[in-house]
Amino acid sequence: MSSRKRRDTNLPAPYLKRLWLDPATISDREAYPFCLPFLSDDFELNFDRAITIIVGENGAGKSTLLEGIAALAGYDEAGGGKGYRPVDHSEAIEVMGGELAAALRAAWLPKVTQGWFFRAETFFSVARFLDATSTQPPDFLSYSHGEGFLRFFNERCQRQGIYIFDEPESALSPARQMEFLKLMRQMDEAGHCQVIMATHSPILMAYPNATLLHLSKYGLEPVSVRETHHFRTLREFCQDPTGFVEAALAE
Amino acid sequence: MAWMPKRREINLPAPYLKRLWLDPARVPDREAYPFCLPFLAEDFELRFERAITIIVGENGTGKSTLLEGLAALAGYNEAGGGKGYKPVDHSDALEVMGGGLSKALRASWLPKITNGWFFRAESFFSVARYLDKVALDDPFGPPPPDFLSHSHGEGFLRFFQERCQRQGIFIFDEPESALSPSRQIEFLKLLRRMDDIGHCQVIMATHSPMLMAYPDAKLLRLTKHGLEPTTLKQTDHYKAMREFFEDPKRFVEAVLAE
Repeated sequence: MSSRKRRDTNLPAPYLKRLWLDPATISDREAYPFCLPFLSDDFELNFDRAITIIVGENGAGKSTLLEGIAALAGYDEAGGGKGYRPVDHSEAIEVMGGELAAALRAAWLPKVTQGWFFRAETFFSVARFLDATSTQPPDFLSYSHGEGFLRFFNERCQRQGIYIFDEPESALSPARQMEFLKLMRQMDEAGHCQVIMATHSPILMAYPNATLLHLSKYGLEPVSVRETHHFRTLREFCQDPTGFVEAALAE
Repeated sequence: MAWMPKRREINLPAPYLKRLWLDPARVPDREAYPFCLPFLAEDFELRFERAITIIVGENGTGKSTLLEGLAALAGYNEAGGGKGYKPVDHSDALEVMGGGLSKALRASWLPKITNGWFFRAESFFSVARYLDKVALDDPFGPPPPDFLSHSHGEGFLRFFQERCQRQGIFIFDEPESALSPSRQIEFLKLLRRMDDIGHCQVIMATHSPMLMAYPDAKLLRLTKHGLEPTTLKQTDHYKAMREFFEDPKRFVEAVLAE
């Protein structure tokens, strides 16, 4: 990694403390992304912990919200070392998120602009890149196969910054998701990493010490893993896979 | 659909791709990717007995490479895709690696079919997000969908049905990406319809135990030793999920204590 010297703050994460909508700056309430049901005039999001996890059904606006936060943090081509070019997608912030950012206001302590925005697509590239370049045939049955993956993210995620993960579970087997939990723990313990993550994976939602929020058309509200639709559906499936699938297909 | 040209279809039922094997004589360099993948032994062979074949395996075993090789064999590039769907048409995105593999693969077909689609995980993202956006964008369309009910998945299902009801060979690489559990249920229904139609061959790689549980499919596990039949309950994916749901808190604590 190119280690230019930077002045780091000694303050602990979270750095982004609060996020809210400024209705006065919205040009067209009917247009995307401002028509998203969760974006009411009094939309507000407080960050109390280093790790914030957002869950919600497809289409609720999780990704748009993350894109907006990433644009607020000013991410474009933020970081990425030599030789990792094929997996550097951090510049791929979409226009929609940028539009949302224009109507968002944020309170930082202090303002931090280092970090990464990892989209699901980035995870695919990373996972496949690592698989294709691993020199030794991995041991597919042990968790150790995830070590390369973990090491890759550790390199990128140990510095002070704000890290945004959009559905990191994509392309990750359960074994890899366990490695990702360990990465979260390391970032949490480092004390200077703020993580904001959207996920459909109950395993990732179950990370302890995180604020878990449910995004619905009514806005964001605290939720427990067991209350989520994802947890309940997948638990029901695991208890009786055959019966569950038969019932789903009989609908 | 209206724009579809008439084609002569075959009355034989799926599967059309019957058998796939490696021809070691055509392998340029045993040490180079993709031929160094452990599963690609000299006697590598894959037989298709059912309309739906599901391949599971840990990251890095070569599932995606195998699917890319299959897609290249089927001759896919920009195969299909109607007007107006350009933003979600990724069927041409075959990587060089899969193409390289296909040169050393041989296949027997009955008959040779070149219609169909290759859906990569990235396509699913695009489709899922495109549909969400369209649903919200259209002021004259139906009201915003109910995000908490299963009905939200209907648009998704309809989208794939349009593409997947014709005779053909359909390759899905990790379709669960970007799909919530509700959407995965919709995807199971799509598989059922393709299965019932009788002229769709599906070859799918997945990490999702829910998709692996589709009945009537041939479930295969890819390891460094090759492909072997397995059952849902034998997969590492299912075992890990089951353990997690028995006691989520302890499961996570144990992982983090390692």
